[in-house]
Amino acid sequence: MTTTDSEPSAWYVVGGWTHVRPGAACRVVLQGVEIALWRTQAGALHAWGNRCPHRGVRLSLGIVKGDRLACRYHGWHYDEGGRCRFMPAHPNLDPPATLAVAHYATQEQDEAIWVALGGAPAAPPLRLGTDRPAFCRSIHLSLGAEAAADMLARLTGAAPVAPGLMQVWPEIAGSDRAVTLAVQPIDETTTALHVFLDGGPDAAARLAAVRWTVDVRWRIGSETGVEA
Amino acid sequence: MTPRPTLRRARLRFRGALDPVVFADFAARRAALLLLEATWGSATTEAFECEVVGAPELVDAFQMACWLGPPHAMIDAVDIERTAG
Repeated sequence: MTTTDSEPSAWYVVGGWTHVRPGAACRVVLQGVEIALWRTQAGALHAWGNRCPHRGVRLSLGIVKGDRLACRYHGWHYDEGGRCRFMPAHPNLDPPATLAVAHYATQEQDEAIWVALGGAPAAPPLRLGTDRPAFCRSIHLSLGAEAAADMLARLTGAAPVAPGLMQVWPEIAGSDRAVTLAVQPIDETTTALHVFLDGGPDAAARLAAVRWTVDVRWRIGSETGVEA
Repeated sequence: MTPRPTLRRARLRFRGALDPVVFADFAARRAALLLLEATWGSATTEAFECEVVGAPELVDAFQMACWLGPPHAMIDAVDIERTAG
């Protein structure tokens, strides 16, 4: 198995657990790095470099076949370790182990999908709350991560609790549940914000948190004059 | 339909317009990816020569990859001579 970097790095939330369903693939970007996020039919999550070693096509466009991801272009199949196992044009060829996709560490916790770009960090990701945090909504902001954090602090009163994580206690559905904001640096000018609500699954509270999130996006858009 | 080649060794000459340093780096990476044993020949701004040994399908893949890329190169033709390896 290969990774792009052996140096340990930090965990970042790149979406809620529903972001990619079993048997599906999607594209996410973290710190300028394109990632193909996909799940096997059984639900195992993988984060790979978003480029087929064959012709460079995005693997996030690929098709999940059981526990393999097939490139949409020429159909090369990759197993869960990222190694090419089958080439439709050469069905009798045993592909060499060098034909493999770079992959990144992933973890699922608190309804969040976490990815680390380098080697897997020694410690697991931080918790997103103390009482069954629930994923509510993701929004994109036309701001760099630092500017986004500054604006969130100013407009919502959110305070940093760890690198990439902020917390705030807005009034949600009649109570002061903790809301954790996970900041995903996409590139220098774009940030994704993933919102998690503490206090266990509660449809009304979750909906209220979604509305709060949309309101935050509108307020940031009004401040910056840029539609998210 | 063209019969599948069975010879494992191929001497290749890529002709066109290219940067020999960039092209050599690209070819070396591609050969490593395809697990080909490679021997590098002359490299100029007009041609690049090498010899590779490996599975015929992967030699074909190497030929096509170098024909298409790297981006700066414009390869007009490829001479290929296959022998038993």
